[in-house]
Amino acid sequence: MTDIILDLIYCFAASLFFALIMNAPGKTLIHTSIAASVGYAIYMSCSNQLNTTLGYFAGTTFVAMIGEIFARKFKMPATTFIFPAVIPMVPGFGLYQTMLALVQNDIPSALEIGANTILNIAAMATAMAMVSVLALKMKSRNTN
Amino acid sequence: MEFNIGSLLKVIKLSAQIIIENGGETYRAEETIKFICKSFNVKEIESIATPTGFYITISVNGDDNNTLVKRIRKRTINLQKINDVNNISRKLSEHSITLNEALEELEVINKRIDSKNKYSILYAGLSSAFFTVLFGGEVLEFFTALLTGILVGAVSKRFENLHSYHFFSSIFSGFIIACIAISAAFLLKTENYNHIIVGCMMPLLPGLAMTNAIRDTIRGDLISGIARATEALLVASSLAAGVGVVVYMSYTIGILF
Repeated sequence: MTDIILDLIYCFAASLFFALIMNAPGKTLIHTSIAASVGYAIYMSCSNQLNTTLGYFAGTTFVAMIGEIFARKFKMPATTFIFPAVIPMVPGFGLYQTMLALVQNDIPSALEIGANTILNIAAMATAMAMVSVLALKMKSRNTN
Repeated sequence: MEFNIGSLLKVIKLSAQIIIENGGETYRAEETIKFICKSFNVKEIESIATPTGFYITISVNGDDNNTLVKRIRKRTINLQKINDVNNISRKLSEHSITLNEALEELEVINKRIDSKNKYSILYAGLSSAFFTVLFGGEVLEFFTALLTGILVGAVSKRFENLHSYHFFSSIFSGFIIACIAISAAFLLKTENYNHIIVGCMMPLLPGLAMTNAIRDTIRGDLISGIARATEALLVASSLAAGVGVVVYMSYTIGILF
């Protein structure tokens, strides 16, 4: 339990400083970092209980949704919230392991890990696209 | 309502330019142009924006056309500037500021250098360090990643003005990260050099390009979507190549087993 809470604190700090590098506006920082931590928690619990790819999908869906909600509330572009919050979930470890396997001339495991990484990125992309389409539909209904 | 077409063109050019140069989606640039022009009762507005430039044609009375082409050469990430332009276009469409005031504000935003912020290198280091512990690093890895992140941040700042910024800075950053992490593993006898490498890679991964590629494609901006996806692929693979060279060499020399 302590491990999970510590992980969430690390995730909060990492995305906070990441948002600061990207010059995110000051008043969005805390919201974005909390969204990142909660998204990461959802990702971790889903991938432990069910399936890793589903974890990526669920975590990204949450982050994208909360990003769109914050965007409406603050009247700011949704990317400001989604982009720093989604970064802790990007499968950097998979990318690195693929590269490591390639360097060690271990083509079968490079293909296996690589295909998995691409699948995970595709899950994230699908989640983001889905939420984006939904947000677009809601927006056009409001203006009509 | 009376207004100068020249200043309107300047305002929409500058706002679209700032949005694209600082990492906004291309549909946001197009919509900002449309948003501002509609509030001035411009009859015809056509704009095509891509990550490398944009074309605008407006016709105020329906007969005379004004066309504008702008090539975008540098692209960085600065979320604050996108928000500032967003606010100005909002104020402009409510007519709470005039075109000339908006133009002055936009010029200030365009010239402002947020990235020279002296803490941004430190933030890069801290971000890398926290990603390292998130992936399972310990105290020693935290401080190694902090130093590596600061160094990589300083190096990317240097490469920012170079023409092929993304490619060179990624491959070089990957190289530095792997060098430091593996030397730390060799000198301090730590096993977890993987965590340092991945933790320091995370802030450099093309998250914004990926997010924007998806958001652009969904809105039907296929060209921008493909361009962004290519950018993301290029950055990720050059980062991996930079790390890979060092790892391969250390396997060959025999530092790693």
